[in-house]
This record gives sequence, structure tokens and C-alpha cells, in this order.
Amino acid sequence: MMEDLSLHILDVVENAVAAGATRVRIAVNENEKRDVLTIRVADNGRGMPPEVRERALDPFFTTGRKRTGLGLPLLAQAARQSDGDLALESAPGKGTKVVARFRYSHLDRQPLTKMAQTMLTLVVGHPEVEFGYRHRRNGRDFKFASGPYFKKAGRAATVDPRLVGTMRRALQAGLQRIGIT
Amino acid sequence: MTKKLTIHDLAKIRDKTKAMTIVREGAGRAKVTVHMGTCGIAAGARDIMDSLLDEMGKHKVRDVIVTTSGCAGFCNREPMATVELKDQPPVKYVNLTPDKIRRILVEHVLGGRIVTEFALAVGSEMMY
Repeated sequence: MMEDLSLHILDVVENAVAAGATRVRIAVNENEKRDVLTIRVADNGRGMPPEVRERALDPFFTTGRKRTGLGLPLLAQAARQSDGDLALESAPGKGTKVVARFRYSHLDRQPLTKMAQTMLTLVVGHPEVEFGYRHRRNGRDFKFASGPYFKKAGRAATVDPRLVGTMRRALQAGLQRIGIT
Repeated sequence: MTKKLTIHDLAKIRDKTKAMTIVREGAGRAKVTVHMGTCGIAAGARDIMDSLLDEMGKHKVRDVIVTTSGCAGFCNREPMATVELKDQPPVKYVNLTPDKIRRILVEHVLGGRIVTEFALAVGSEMMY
């Protein structure tokens, strides 16, 4: 069981990267007025053929050798238990899009928490992938793109702690501005 | 069904290989892989990554490659990380905590001494 929704996001995006994605778009929308929280992850990875797509939400179904096959089923369960749903679009060569919706005020909706940590883990772990992240909260917007940071610093394989610090601060400050601490 | 190799797959293989050869060719001191499969994430791998990056910042380490990987098949021993020093075989660490990964960075990655008490196995007669 994942403790919070930002861990689900990390898991789904790791799948996208494992599927060969070079670009991943992550969008989170918190709308208290409409009482809905939406998470969208879209990638340009290799996509799933219909027979895989059909079974991708079945627990323990996996195409990996050692993998668990619980990533998407756990997210679908988290959405359903808070009166929401999960939609999956995928086709070979067209990438994959996962949209999970939650009823915002539902007692069983897991908290988002630690989106900055999730994004930092992804961006540092996969400098070769371009990540776009948009977080909207009650109409206020925060956008983060990993591309420009690496373009400036050069796409070195080693980690530069100063660059990590800069990105961490940008994520934390940006999220704070839209009311997420 | 056989998997078709796409241009993205090739780009990925290129980047992965590049990351590996960088260690071998001397540009990087070491490579640390934090296992970030569903099992690893549920067990706390993100906190391990966060602590690792924080500790690297404290020691101003600039020649270490950090990356993530999927499930290694030991889900019950997660969170896990693999440390690969230049010209040395990789070492898998299991049941990690933020404090343990900080120690591994200082003692193994920077100091060159394997932290045997956190390693998956020492020697060859360990069965799972």
C-alpha cells in the first residue's frame, strides 16, 4: 500500500520511464469547489498493445520478469475507494496516458504530500528524460520543467548537488506559492 | 510476443551504457542505484533517495552517478540500493533507512569500505 498519492505518481512515472519514454507530462489538479482531484500522467513511451492494455489493471499482471504487477491496480484501488476512477489510454507507438480521479473531500482519499520529493527523485534519477509538471490548486498554477535546468548545466551523468539544491528550492517555493506546504 | 525495439529504447540503452562507462572510464567515482519499483516505493525508497541527495550535498560530492531502477526480485528486503565503485563489483544493500544510506555514502562511496552489516550477502552460501 502506498502511503500517499505522490508515491503513486512516482510509481506510475517510473513505469513510463521503463517503457522508454523520453518525455513525461505530469498534471495534478486540486479543485475543492468541484470536489475533485485529478492526476494525469502522459508519456511518449512504447505504449501497450491491446492485450496488455486489457489486463494492465489486473493485480499481479506484469510484462516484466521480476516485477510485481501492482502499480496501476493500487492506484485504481486508491481512486475507487475515494469515489473516483482510473482511465488508461495506451497504444503501441502512441505512448500511455493514465488519468486518476478522486473525490477531494472523501475520507478515504489519500493525501498528496511530498510532490517536491517525487519530482526531484524522478528528475535526478533520469536526467535523460524531459519531465513537465503542472500543479493547479483551486485555480492557481505552478509549472516546472526539468529540461531548462539540464540544458544550462549540461546533461552530465553525475549528480551536481548544487543543481539538485536549485531544483529542490524551485519545487518547494513553487508549490508553496499555490498553497501547498 | 517479441518486443519491438524502438528508437526510444535505443536512446535509453545508449544513456544507460554511457552512465556505466563513465564510471569505468574515470569520470565518475561511483554509481548508486536506488531501487524504485512498486515494492521499493511502498517501502520508502523515495526517502532513501532524498537522504542520499541531501548527504551528497553536505559532502559536496560531484562525481557520483545516481539513478533509479525497478524491482530486483527481493521485494521483502526493500528499500534497496546498489553501489558500484570504479573497477569493483556492485554491492546490494537491503532494508535501508535514511540513516543507513547516509552511512553507506560516507563509508562505502566516499571511503571505499563496504558496509557489510547492511549488504544483502557476503560470500556465496546465502539462500533465499
